Parts: sequence; C-alpha cells; structure tokens
Amino acid sequence: MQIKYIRGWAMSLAAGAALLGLAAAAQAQEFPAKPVKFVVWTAPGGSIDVLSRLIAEKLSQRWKQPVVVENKPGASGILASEYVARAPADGLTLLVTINTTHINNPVLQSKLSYDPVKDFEPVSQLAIGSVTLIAPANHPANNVAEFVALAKKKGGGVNYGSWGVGSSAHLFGELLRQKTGLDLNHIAYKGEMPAITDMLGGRLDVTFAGGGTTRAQLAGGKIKVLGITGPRRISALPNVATFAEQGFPGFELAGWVAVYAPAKTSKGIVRKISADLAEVVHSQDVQSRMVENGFEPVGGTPEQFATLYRDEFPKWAELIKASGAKVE
Amino acid sequence: MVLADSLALGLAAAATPINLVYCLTGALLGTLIGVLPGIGPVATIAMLLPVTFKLEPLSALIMLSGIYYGAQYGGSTTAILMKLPGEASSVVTALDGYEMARRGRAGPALAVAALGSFFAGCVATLLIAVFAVPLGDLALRFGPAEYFSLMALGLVAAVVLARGSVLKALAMVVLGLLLGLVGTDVNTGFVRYTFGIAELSDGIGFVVVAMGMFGIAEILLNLEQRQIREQATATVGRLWPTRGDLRAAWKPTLRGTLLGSVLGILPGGGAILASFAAYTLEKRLAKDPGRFGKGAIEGVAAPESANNAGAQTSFIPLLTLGIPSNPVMALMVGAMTIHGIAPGPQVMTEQPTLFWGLIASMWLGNLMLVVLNLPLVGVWVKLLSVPYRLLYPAILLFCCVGVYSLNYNAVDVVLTAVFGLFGVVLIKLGCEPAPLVLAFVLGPMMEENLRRAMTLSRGDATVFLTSPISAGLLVATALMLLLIVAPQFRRMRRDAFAE
Repeated sequence: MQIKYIRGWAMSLAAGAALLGLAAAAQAQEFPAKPVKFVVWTAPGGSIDVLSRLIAEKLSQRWKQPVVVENKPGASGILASEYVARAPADGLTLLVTINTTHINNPVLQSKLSYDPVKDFEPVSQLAIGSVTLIAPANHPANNVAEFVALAKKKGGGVNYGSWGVGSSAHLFGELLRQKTGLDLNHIAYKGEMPAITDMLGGRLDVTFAGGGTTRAQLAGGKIKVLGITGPRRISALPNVATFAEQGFPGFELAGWVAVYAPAKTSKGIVRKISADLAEVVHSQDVQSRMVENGFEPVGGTPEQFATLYRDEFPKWAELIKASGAKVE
Repeated sequence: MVLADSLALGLAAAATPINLVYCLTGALLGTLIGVLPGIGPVATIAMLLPVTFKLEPLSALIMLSGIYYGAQYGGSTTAILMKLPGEASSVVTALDGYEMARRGRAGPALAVAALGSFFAGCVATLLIAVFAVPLGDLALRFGPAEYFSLMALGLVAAVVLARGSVLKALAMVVLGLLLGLVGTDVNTGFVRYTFGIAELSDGIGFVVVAMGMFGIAEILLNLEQRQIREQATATVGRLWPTRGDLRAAWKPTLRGTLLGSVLGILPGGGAILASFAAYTLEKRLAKDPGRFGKGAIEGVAAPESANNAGAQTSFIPLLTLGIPSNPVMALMVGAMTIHGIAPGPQVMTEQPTLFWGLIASMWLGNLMLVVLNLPLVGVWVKLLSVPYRLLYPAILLFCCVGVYSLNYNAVDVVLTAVFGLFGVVLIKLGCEPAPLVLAFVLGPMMEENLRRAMTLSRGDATVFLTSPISAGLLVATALMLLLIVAPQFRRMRRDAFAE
C-alpha cells in the first residue's frame, strides 16, 4: 500500500517536472525563462511568508512562470541570506527579507557568513512595517505621554514585552527608557503573540506589536494602541499618532520588507524585476491585503532602496549599540 | 438555546457537498501523512497553503484542520505497528501499542485507538462549542510561573514513566535538558553550544531528536534482531477488540479525554503533555501496573484519546483569542490571514458561519475518520506483511524527506542519523529514550518561563508559591518526588517494570 503510494507519487512528480520543462522551453525568450524562487526565512504562515506568497502568485501570472516560495527558516535569516548570496546571479533566486538580515545581523554579529552590501543587489523595497506600543483596553493611559506620566507617578517599574533581544521592539523599548528615565523592565519572548497573551493576562504592563497584529487585536477590543513608531502614520491604523507627533522624537525608524538578488545580477534583470514588483505592489488588491496585514506599501526603484539603506544603516547601528544588545 | 442555534448554523455551513468533500480530503490526507513517518501536519499544511488561495475561507480552514486531526489518527497507526510515532503526541502510544502488535494484537490496538480518538474528538468538539469563551480565559491565567511549575511536574512524571532504574531515567532527563539548551538564549540573545554551526542557532529540532531516537534507532535495532521480528509479524490477530478489551478501555478513554481537553488548551506542548500525563495517570490507577509497557490496552486508549482531545481543544485559544498554541495553529493563523480574516476574539461574533462551520466540520470529520479508518485498519495491518527489505529503506527515505522539508537544510538530516545511532547506544545501555525526549521538549520552555517569571518579579523567587495554580502544581510535583524516593514505591515500581 505504502510502496504503491510512493511509486505513484514519484511518477506524478516526474510528469509534473516534464510539464514544467516543456513550459520553460516555450517561454525561453524573455526573463524569466525558468521558474523563479523566492527564498523566505520566516516560518510558513508568518506575515512575511503570507505576503511573499501573495506577491509570488501575482508575479507568476504576469511572468507566465511559476514563482515558488521556499522557506529557509532559522538563525535570524543567516541561512537564507547565505543561500541567496551564493546562488547564481541570474535573477531566478531572490531573497525576500526584512531589515534583520541586512542591518541587525551585521551590527550584532562579528562574524557573518555573508556581506549585506557586497554579496547582494538591492531590488525593491516592498513595504515598511512599523511597530506599535499597545496596552490592555482597560489601561488608564490613552497615549505615550499619558502612559509615561502615569508610570512616573505610580513609581516602581514597568514591564514591557518584545520578540527578542536586539529586535526592533527591544531597541525602541530601550530608547524609551533612555529618553524618559522610566524604570522599564525588558521581558523577551519568542514572538509577539506570547507577549500579548502575557499582557492580557496582566503580567506585562505594555508590549510592542507589529501593525497587522495590532489591527487584528484592536478589532477584538481587548487592547488599545498608545502610539506607533516610524516616520509617519500608516494606512492600517490611520488614527494612531506617531511617537514623534506625540512629542517623542527619535522613534522615526521603521522596519522594511525588501527583495534582494545575488550580487552581479545584470542591471537589466534587476530593473525588470523591480518594475514588475512595483506594479504588483501598487495593484489594488495587493495594496489592500498589505494594509490589512499592517504593511505600508512602497514598491520603489533599486536606487531608492539603496539610498534608504545607506541613510538608515548608521541610525539603526546607533540604536542597537545604545540598547546594549549583544549576541556574542 | 443559543448554542443549539449556533451549532445548527455551523452544521448547515459544514454539510454542503463541497465542504464535505474538503473535510474528507483533509481528514484522509491527514491520516496518510500521519501514517507515513516523518511527514507531519506542519509540513503538509505549509505545502498546501498556496492551494487554499483559491478556496472559500471556510472550505480552506475545514480542509487544513482535517489534516491536523486526521494526522492524530494516522500517527497512532505507525506508533502501534512500527514503534514510529508519526506525531510527537503518539510517543507514549508506541510503548504499549507496539507491544500489543508484537503479541499479535495489532488489530485491537488500532481499533481501540481509533474508537478512543473518535470519542475524544466528539467530546472535545462539544467542549469547544460550550466552553469556547470561558476556556479562552483559563489559558490567560497561565503565566510564566504557572508554566514553569506545570513543566516541572511533567518532568518528574517522565521519571515515573520510565522503565528501569530511576537513576538512569534522571540521567536521561538531565541529558535531555542539556540538549534542549543548544541554540540562542531568549533572555540574553547569547548563542550556546552551537560550535559555530549556524543551523544550530535555533536549537536542535524536536523532529530530529524524536525521529532519530525512536524511528532510526528502532530500525537499526530491528536489523540486528531480524529473526524475532519476522516471528512477531507472522500473527496479526483479529481486528475487533474483545468485550474484555472494551471493558478495560472505556474508563481510560474517558479520563484521557478529560485530561487531554484541559491540557490541550494550554499553549506549548499541550497535546504531548496530555498523552504523557494520561499514560502516567492510567499507570497510577491500574491495579497491576506491571502490564504497562508490555501491551496494556489502557496504555493505548488513554494517551490516544488524550492527544486527540488535546488536538481539538488547542483550537480554543486560536478561535477565541487568535493565539496559536502550537506550530499547526500558527499555520492556521496564516491561512486565515491569507483569506483576509484577522484571527482573534472578533471571529466568533463577526464571522459566526466560519466559526461554527469549522467546529461542526471537526465533528463530521471525526465521524468520517472512524467510519473509514476502522475498515482501513485492515489495510494498515497489511503493512506489517510488507518485507522489511522494502519497508525499511522506504521509511528511511521518508524520514530523510520529512526532516529535510522542515527547514530545507541538510544538517538536520545528518543530526537525525546521529541521534539514531545515539538511540541505539542508549537502548543497549538500558536507558529509555522517552524521558530524554520529553525533557528535551520541556527544558527550553521551562528555562524560558523560569527566567521570565524571575525577570517579571525582579528576582523574587516566591512568585512560584504565591500564585495558587503554580503552588498547587509544585505541591503535586513534590509529592511525586517523595513517592519516587519512598522505599515502598520503589519496590512497587521495580515490580511494575520487572520483565
């Protein structure tokens, strides 16, 4: 029974592969002549994975080629980044990643198996992902200023949650501690959801959360949002004021989702992928999906992304060093 | 009568022809991948996520959850027939189920597992419907201190569960804890015991350890004792359990269901803990604990109903709070967001058809599984007559594919092989791998929660005693420890495990 199943499976795989081969031969003229691979390092089902699959689907319609999402999770994206850095520079293997692999890892880790600049060709910034500060719905404070004032009046410490040492949540928390002098006690979790659970259970005072999660939890009515980090308000949470608007400058950095190709990929291919990505990102349904999941759509040119990276890298580095986070 | 109305709404939504087809597809696919060692529901659901893009949200969720509970049925099948737990939660089923199979009673073991799972599935589905809202709040009451104490209890239970010397079992627990420390420390971000291998920075995978120590090791040991295995498979036995079997199994099924329902709600190792806890409980209650580990039917009925109940009730935190309690539930969150549904408490009120439809489909799915699987038990039993020279390479191949597909890295495959060899050495030394594997799962969670509780209390260790839930669990742990040390119990335990 089992053996028969294996044989049948192998045969259908072989048939599928043959079909793919035929399709590839027919489409050899233009890029991409072969199936394209999106390497994603977050776990299947995570927000980046879901976004990648959505965009992959749209690109494969456009390119008439399969665009396959391959999950290479683990080690803060080091494995996935290294894999793409060593892949052939033909544009068929692309890295969909967030700032962690190209900013946080290089700053935090002395030895890294890839070079975030020399090993990659920036293709496109898909979106920015801002981080919010949230509290239980019955919390007396309604914004960051009220929260800080209340905490100072009450005395004692404040417990806040993050999704790990060196994560943007941790960095913003430490920045808030330094700016306000509050006795903020950092509690690290393995993700944002366990921290929210502990906050709803009354064990944390506040926690940070991504835009999509904040939106979902807000709809459930169990939390309130005190403020959002990043350069400007986001479409997913238009009524939430930024930290800067509330008189807390220094929180303007926002995480991003971007696509990289291996270094030495031809400029023409990079430009084509970037332009197609921008069109997909700007299409109506993709935009609304992104906003629902808390992402602010960007979809610019390779040059725009490269400039942003050069500008932001030193700012993040400073923030990480100031937080005292270390990996080794 | 709100409940009846809601369930009627759910049944109407779930019983449309198209949704029934997806329910059946999911449940059968789940059983299949549960039967095949190495390919678990996480990998399958992940691979099928893109397929659900085009489906209605309800159909997609019905199929995906069918894979999950179907796998619980299937996982026990390989655990019983080949001592290869398809799922972590079937680990304890393998202890007595496989012994039953070796004694020519594979049929009754499979039938009792399926019937117990069905019963547990029905009860748990009803429980979800009745207690969804209040039970969601119970999970919230479990903070770091409570989790730590619960896991301490689990580890002490692992020592009680082990065969052979208490000292060896303790050594296995400690070894498991040490292995669990490999990887990045959540509280400081420091990387421990990785020897510079990036693949190890997230720790050693559970599947790697479990598959190596239970699966590969068993195959290797079997190669050595070929003669004995051939004899054991010669007789398969009747399919249906005897009246005596049913009489022995119904109470453990009931207790396992209750225990599993409660433990399944808790985030983390709910279903795994449930099956271990149910097995331990049965052994404690048994008049003659000596039969456990040697083919006791209670040792199959209790953990099987517990893990299925746990698998079902783990939907409660997801559906009521939007909080995934295990990797499968995390994938369900992903599936929901793909369809533009934000998981959380609002799903119940804003999308009643989806919420109740999914719940009703679970009951329908469980019914289909038991109706289809009991006749199919015969087919699974036939697997035993497949010659090992074909079966072993096939299993090894599937193990490799399964392990590789977790993270797409070859280091995991190599590690699985290493743990396989290690498992053989341990068994030769008379050490049980089960406590090691449990400690390996619970260790990292336990450390995380211990240190989190201490950070939250700012270094005040009394938090573990001031919380009533935590204090109660610690008292239970202490009593169990005393029992192990007590000379009377030691004698009893020695008799129980006497070969």
